[in-house]
Amino acid sequence: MSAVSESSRLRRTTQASAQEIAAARARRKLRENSRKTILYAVLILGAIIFMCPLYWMLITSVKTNAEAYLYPPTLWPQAIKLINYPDAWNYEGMQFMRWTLQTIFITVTVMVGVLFTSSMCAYGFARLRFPGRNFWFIATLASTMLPAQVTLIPLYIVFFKIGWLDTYNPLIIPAWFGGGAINIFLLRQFFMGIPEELEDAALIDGAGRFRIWWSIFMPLSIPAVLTVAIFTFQGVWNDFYGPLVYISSQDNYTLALGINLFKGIYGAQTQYLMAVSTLMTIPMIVLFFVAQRYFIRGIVLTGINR
Amino acid sequence: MVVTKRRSRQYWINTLQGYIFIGPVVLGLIIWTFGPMIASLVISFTDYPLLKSPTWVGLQNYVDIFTRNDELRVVQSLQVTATYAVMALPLGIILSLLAAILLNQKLRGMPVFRTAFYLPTIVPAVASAFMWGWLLQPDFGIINSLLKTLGATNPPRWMAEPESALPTLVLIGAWGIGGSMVIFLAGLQSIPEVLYEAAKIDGANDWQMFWRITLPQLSPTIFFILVTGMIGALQYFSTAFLLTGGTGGPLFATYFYNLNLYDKAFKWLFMGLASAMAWVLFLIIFVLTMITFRSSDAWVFYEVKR
Repeated sequence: MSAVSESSRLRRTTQASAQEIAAARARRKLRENSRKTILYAVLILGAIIFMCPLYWMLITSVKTNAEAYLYPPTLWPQAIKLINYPDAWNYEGMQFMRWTLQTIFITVTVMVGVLFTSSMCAYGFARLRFPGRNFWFIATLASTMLPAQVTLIPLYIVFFKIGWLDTYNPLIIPAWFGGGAINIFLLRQFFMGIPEELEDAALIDGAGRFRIWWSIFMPLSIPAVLTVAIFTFQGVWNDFYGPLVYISSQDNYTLALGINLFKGIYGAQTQYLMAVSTLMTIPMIVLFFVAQRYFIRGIVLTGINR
Repeated sequence: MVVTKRRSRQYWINTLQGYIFIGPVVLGLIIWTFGPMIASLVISFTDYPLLKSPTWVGLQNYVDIFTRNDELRVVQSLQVTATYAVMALPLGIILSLLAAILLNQKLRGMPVFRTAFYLPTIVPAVASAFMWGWLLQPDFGIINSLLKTLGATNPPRWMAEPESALPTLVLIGAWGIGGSMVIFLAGLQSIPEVLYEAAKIDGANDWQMFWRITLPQLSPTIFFILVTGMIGALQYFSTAFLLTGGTGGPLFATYFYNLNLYDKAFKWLFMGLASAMAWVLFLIIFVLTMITFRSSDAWVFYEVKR
């Protein structure tokens, strides 16, 4: 067999298969494109379904009462009545300003308590060695299984006896005791990843444990600390059950209770109800866009590592 | 002869230091969890109208829970809750898994879609409940208006009819799948790409890869979402309370277990009965969680650690 015929045969087959390959590539590209088109169609449809309710809340909030109840509904308001927002905010008999400030007060005091005590406990669990550490850590994690209702009634009775009902103490003070098992867990995981050499160096330099926790671990754990802060903010701002149980007088309401009250009395003023609901949602949306990374990371961390 | 080892001074200092750090959570567990738990168990064996002193009634509350359904409706509310969980859990898991797979495709613009699917979960319960109440308003709501445009002559009356009220709440719940979707997404991204490459070489198609690789690899995530979702569904409260003005209507069709417990404790002030209800709920959650954990050996796939 000569080398010449060998190479010419090879050339022929290469030419033939080159055409086939081109055809196959075109087919694959077509298939890939139609796959992409279908995926985008489903994604866009899904996004519309998920976003539409919020759009409708926003649109209703700037309609007149008459237009809100118009049938069939108008998909875009005839006139954008931004005045609905101040009108709703200052609605007679409602104290939205006061309720918002009170909600902020509760949120901030809970957040400080949670960050301070959960990080302190997390440091203890992550870095100190002492008898009983594992027992208390497991007890902390196990406590998340318990439905809140089991402890609710005795606590309510005690709060009733010591005059804490209709104050913010039942909402704030428990947060200063460790700040929730999941937060401790999350921070502990993060603290365990900090190199021990840093700590040893600080100890040699004469720093105490509190100093190490506060001046080394906290600054190094800002992503985890922010995650905890964001979830705490979200939880407290959105909380309905806690205030519903413990707060009774309108003067002491939170925003969630206030909006529920408004709905109960003036439910037919839908445009105002949607306006205050939008106002309560906006801080959460802003927070989400400012700190999106931490949001997603937090869910993933609390979800996977348990 | 017993040798007693004298603990060093340093040992006691370390122990003290450790308990100072985890002090908040140790005290918290005692004050807010273990103490009230025992108290709640004791109260559940008493007749305790908040304003009078408790009297011991033995197991009477537990007997009442299961026998006096006409007045107390505990069994009924348990059925409502179970029905909701049976509808909402599979739907939520399937939808959030599908959404996660969709959002895990490598396409341009994905962050925007992810945000759109996730955003509903940060909307406060109060705002989302009233928003949905308005969307699903049977006469003026946008959803029934759309259904009529599409040719439905007799669209569902959603929260206004006993038959459709509970499925409506399931639907509203499906809007908030973003949380479990993100957890699934993280699960998907942690599946080693090598597995898919190997399967492709062996000639596997997409469908086979989903059943043989994706699902087994995701089973720990599914397990986690199943357990937390179950615990959450059994404690369902806010949306039903907000949309029915706390009545669990129409005709007690959405009278969830926790709505009932709230009424018994804070409207009727039956502290003994409500505590017994809380313990029944706890036991149900505990047993179901244990069953799920036991069953997990059969279907949850864990990578062998190397």
